[in-house]
Amino acid sequence: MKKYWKIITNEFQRHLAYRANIVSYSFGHLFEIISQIVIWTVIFQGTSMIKGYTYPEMMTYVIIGWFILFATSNYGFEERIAKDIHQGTLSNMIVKPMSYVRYIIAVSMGRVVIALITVAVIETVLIFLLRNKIIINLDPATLLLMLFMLLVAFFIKLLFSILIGLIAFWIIEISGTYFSLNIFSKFMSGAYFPMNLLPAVFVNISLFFPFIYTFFIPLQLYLKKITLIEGLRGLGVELLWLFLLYLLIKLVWHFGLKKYEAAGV
Amino acid sequence: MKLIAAKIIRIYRIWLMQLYSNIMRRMAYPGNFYLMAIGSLFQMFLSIAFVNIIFSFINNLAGWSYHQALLVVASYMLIEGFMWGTCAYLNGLSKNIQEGTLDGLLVKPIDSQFFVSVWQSDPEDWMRVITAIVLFTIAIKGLDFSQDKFILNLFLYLFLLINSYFIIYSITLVIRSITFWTTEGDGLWKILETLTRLSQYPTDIFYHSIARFIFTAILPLAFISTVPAKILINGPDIKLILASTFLAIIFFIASRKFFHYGLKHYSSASS
Repeated sequence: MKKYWKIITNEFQRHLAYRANIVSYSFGHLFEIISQIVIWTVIFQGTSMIKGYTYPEMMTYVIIGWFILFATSNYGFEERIAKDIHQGTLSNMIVKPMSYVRYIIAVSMGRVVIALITVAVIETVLIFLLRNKIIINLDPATLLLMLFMLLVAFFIKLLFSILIGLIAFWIIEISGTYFSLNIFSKFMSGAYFPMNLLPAVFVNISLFFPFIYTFFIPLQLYLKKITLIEGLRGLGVELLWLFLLYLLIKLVWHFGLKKYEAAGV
Repeated sequence: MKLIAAKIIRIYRIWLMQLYSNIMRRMAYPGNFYLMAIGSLFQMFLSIAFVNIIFSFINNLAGWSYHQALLVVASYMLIEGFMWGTCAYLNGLSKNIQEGTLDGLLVKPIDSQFFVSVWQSDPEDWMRVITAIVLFTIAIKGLDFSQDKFILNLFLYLFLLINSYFIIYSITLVIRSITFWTTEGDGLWKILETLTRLSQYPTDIFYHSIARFIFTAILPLAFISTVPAKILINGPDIKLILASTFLAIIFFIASRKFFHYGLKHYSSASS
């Protein structure tokens, strides 16, 4: 465990060198929610309710949703894994007394810290500025359950990225795969807009994928549109998906290594 | 005059060759190319879906009807598609600076800015242009135009879109040129990307006077898709046309100067 902790701290320190870049990234995304806030404000000038959402609920969806999106994000691990496989640098990892997948998880955890701190600061300022326009839910049980859901969501997204990256054992160029799947997963999670603004069939389909449990369901819990029991059920489904993804990665890794040619060695 | 014509033809040929080589590069992995194209198409579909969702609850967005708003979205998609399809938002510039491979492009006997700009393009993003044209046609069909007015308006619209292209290109060049000093400049690019994406909505939604000033004077988002759409719908407005042309020229000259200034600070990591 100590070695993974070292990887986490190393990665954190390495990313401190690029803090300006990370802060710029976070600010870049801030403009995205500003546009969302402006658009929904304009829309709600003509109506008081949209498919069960009031103006404060929609603002909360956008603002808290922004935090959830970043708190559960990992940054481009598909490409990194693909590079390791194609350039043969994976060989260095295989001979070390540690699991490559766990190594990637540790790197991701080290990397996310600075982004998380930046986003938390921006989010606090946003909540303070818009405190009269959003719903503040301080129910401890809800917040605790949300915290667990977000933690599992982070790992689901990470394992999904790792799984896509491992496809590189079989195909050379994976950018198209992860580009398309990332858009699809973001849509299915409800991050573009609330899923229930679309016809019910979209929500029903999205329940068969893990993504909706990483964004939409925790937000519904926060907005009290689902009960704690339903939230717990969501957490259960999330854990099930996490387990399934882990098994799938094990399987892909097992067969992938047989295909691995250790280029450059 | 002959010399200028020869120069333009030469630049055009190089651009075509670069485009061809980028298509070859992408088509080396056809599956990946099609997945990229599908991804771009899906992204476009989501933007259109969002407009449809909005208009299923309201009749107009800050004074813009459904088809008028579609026209703004189509205009933005056209510019976005051309930017990705012709110069990939100058992705190649940052990449070459970071990898220290810019030297190879600078020594070529051709204008450095031009070659660096067209060095990378994403051919799969021409899908965005095709989608935009389809969307544009749908929007136009929904709007009531008289034939004679439409042709003049369309001509002006296309002229303004060229200005929009140069405005976006120039802002991108400035942001990408900052990489000469910082090496890691992707974060700044993210800010630019999200800001320019705001122009897919009519800028009239920014009803606050400060926001309006920022998005018309400082970062002229209004001139990217809202103004061209306005001219196509309402007809010529000399003030707006002149302002758009003036901005495009000023932005282009300023960005070119900034690029060359940045070039002096290029330290070539690999040399």
